[in-house]
Amino acid sequence: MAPWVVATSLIASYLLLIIVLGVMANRRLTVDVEDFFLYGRKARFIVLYLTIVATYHSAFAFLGSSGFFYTHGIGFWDAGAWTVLVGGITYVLGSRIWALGKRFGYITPAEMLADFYESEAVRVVTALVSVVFTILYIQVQAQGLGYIISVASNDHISYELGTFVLLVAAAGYLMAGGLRAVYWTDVIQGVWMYLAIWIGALVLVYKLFGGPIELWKQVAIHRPDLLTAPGPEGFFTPGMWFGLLIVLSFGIVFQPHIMLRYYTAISGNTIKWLGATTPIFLMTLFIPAALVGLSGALVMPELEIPDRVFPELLFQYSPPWLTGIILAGATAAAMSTLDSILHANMMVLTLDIYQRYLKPDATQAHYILVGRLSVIVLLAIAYTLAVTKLDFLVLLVALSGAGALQLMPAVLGVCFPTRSLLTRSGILAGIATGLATLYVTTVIVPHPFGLHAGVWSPLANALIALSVSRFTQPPSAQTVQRIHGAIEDYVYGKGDEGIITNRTT
Amino acid sequence: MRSHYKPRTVQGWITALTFLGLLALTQPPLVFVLGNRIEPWIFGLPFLYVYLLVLYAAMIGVLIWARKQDL
Repeated sequence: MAPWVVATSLIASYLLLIIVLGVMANRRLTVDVEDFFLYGRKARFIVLYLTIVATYHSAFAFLGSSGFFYTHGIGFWDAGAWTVLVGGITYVLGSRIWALGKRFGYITPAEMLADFYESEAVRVVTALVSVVFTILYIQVQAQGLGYIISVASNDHISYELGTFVLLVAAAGYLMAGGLRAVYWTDVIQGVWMYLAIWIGALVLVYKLFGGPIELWKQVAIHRPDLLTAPGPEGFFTPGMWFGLLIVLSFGIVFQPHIMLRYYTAISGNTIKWLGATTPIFLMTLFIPAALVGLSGALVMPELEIPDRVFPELLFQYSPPWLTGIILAGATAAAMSTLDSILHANMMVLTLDIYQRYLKPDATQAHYILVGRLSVIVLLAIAYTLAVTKLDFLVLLVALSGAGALQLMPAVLGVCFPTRSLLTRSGILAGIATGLATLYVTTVIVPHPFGLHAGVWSPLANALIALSVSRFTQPPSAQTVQRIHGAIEDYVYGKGDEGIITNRTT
Repeated sequence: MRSHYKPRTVQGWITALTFLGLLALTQPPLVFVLGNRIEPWIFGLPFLYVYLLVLYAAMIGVLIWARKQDL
């Protein structure tokens, strides 16, 4: 049997498995908005662990990170710091978001911010920022899926068809089983992607060099420029090193598909354990990525597209069945992020816009139906974005990396009580300034003074938010006491027990 | 209401400062001054790689310790 048939068949088998899981999740579903959108707030440690890591790591971690090591060397090992910082943020901030969600029944990030800042404008702006800056990631994942299929099938299946089939599969199980289906498939996808990248990397390194230690020796002899920063092309400068830390830790956490995961935990202690332990998975995934990238730099130094290094090595140096299993792992990495973003956008559109402003008093079944229909719209947008090459899209994707960072001052203002309260006017002025700064420091004067745009924009946002807040009306004392009081009680009082006992919804 | 940006216990201060101190060691300028070199090789691995790996492991250790202390 031809290698591409074996590889493609294995990816098809993987797809079948996750579709079956989606159907099983549908059978457990009840007609309840919290159950459909938030897994009933009952997610336990293992399921939540694997969905968070599978969602954080996308097609980029599987293919792009190997390409980064291939091109820029171990400067990309900076990525480990991003992932450990994500753990710290989850520990400190995620548990507070869980507490407020549980106590006051928030389902979307915009609900929490609108409640504290007593502002519909804050709700709408948060919803728009959430959707606009994450829908672009759907495009990135969809493109990754189409690329994986076309590579696995040796171009017998076109990029367009591959993208369409995988998008439909992800949207199908999301519509069938809601967040439960996403979580269950993420469990399989998380395990699959982790094993796949480790097994693939070790097979290649032992076959090509006799083991990792010999690989490092060969890199030192032939490409020592790959073993220090800033790397052969001077990419990992101090400014870029620090900027990527901010964008790919805070910038990811503040995206709605990650924030809403905090709402879904069964307890705050679960979130804290996740914060302490998810970096083990997230960080160690870059170890095999380094082995793959550096191996490729030695044996395939002339690749035109560095992101192709992993599949190219696999097709040349490993059996077809293994290549298929590993490329299915790459598919899993992309789909687990894609389905989560689709879900988050579905939720924001349905609850923050449709329910709030168009039809506030419908039944739970109606909102679930609207959510499912919105997935079809998102699917169409994602497919169009994935197969269309427009210059303005390239620009939007460049901007999107730091987009969610603009919610940082607003979220911190809610979750970390302090004497200097932020106001609705301050938050809105800060977001507007942050987005303008992001545009200027990404497009007009890219990364001024060598510092990434992802640092400049939240900095400008925070400065304006704080300044404007000094002269404008803060949230009412009653609201501040209600929400900050709940945080105080959770962190320094009764913990999980107090939150569950005093739940107001 | 007292600020939540400052820890209220000694253990809280130690944990926060240790985590942030280790993080600072992984970032410029410290990582470029202290860790950005190939030699000495440690267990067959280049220095920068091991330097960062040890710091990441230590930061995870701090988080696990904090959880065990119920901070």
